[in-house]
Amino acid sequence: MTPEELHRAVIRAVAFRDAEGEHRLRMRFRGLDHDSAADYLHATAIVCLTYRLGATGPHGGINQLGEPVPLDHAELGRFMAELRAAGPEFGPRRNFLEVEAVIRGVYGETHLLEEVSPQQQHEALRLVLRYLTDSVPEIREDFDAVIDKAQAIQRHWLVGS
Amino acid sequence: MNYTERSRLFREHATAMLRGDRAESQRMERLIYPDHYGAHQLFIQTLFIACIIDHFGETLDRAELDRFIARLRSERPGVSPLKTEALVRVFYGETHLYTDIPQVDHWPCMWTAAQMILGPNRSDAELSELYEHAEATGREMLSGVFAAGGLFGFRDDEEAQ
Repeated sequence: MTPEELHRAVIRAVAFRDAEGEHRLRMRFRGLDHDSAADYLHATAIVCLTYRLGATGPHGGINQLGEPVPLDHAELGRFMAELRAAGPEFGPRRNFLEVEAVIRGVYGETHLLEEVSPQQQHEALRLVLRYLTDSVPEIREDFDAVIDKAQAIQRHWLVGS
Repeated sequence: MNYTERSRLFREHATAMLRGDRAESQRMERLIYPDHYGAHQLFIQTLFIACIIDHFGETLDRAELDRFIARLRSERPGVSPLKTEALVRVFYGETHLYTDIPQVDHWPCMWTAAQMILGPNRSDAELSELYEHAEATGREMLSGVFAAGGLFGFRDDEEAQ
C-alpha cells in the first residue's frame, strides 16, 4: 500500500465511520503520516462543505480551491440544527458553537479558529465529514471524486496555485 | 442582606463598571458574596438584555451584529468575539447556543458589550431607568418559566424577611 493509498483508505474509514478499520490503518503510520491524515481530514471536510453550503449559498459558498466567499447565515443555521439533531453514531455531544466557528473559519472568518483548540477543531471536522458523507448522496456514492478534490486543495496549500 | 440592599449593591457596582471606575467596581465586587452570585448572574444577564435591545432593537440584523463584533475585535482585544456574538444571538431566539458558552465567559462578554453600547457618560437618571427596565425584563423572563409570585426576591436572607 503506497502512502497515498493508505491516506485514501484512512479518510474513507473516518467518513464512513469504520472505527476498527481506521484504527488498523493508523497502526501503519510512520513519520509525518499523522500530520498528513490531519491535512486530508481538513481538505476533505472542506470539499464536503462545498456540496452542502457552497452550492446553496446565495454567493456560492467557497470555490473549488477552498477560497472563501461570504456564508449565508440562514443556511448555516439550518445545517447546524441538523448537526445538533444528528445521533450519537456521529460522535459524542459537542460544543456546537465551536463546530460553527470551525465551519465559519473554513468560509473565511479565520480569526474564529483562534478560539477553538486544535483538538476541538479536529473533532468538529470529523463530525462535519461524517454527517455530510451520510446525508449527501453525491458524496457517499463517489467518495473517490471527493478525495481527488481534497488532494487538489492540499496541492493548493502546498504550492499556492 | 435583603432584596433592596442587594439590588442597590448590584446597581452601584454596575454604575462603576459602566463608567469604567475599576477601583470602585473592584471594591463593590468584594461586597458581593458567593451566596449572591446566582442573583448577580441574573442581574447582569438582564442588564445585558436591556443593553442589546437598546442597541439592536426587537429583531437582530446580522450585518449590524457583524459590525458590532468587528468593533469589539478592534477596541477590546482579549474579549471573545465568538462568545459575545453567541450571547447576543441567544437572546434573539438562538437559545440553544446558551449551553455552549461557558459561564465563566459570560461576565467579560456581557460587561464589555454593555460598556460598548452605553459608553461611559450616561447620567444617574439614565442608568436608573436602564436598571428598572432590566429588572422588569428579568421578572418577565422568570415568570414566563416559573409561575410564582415574589420570584424576583429569591435568595433573600431568612432573617431579613
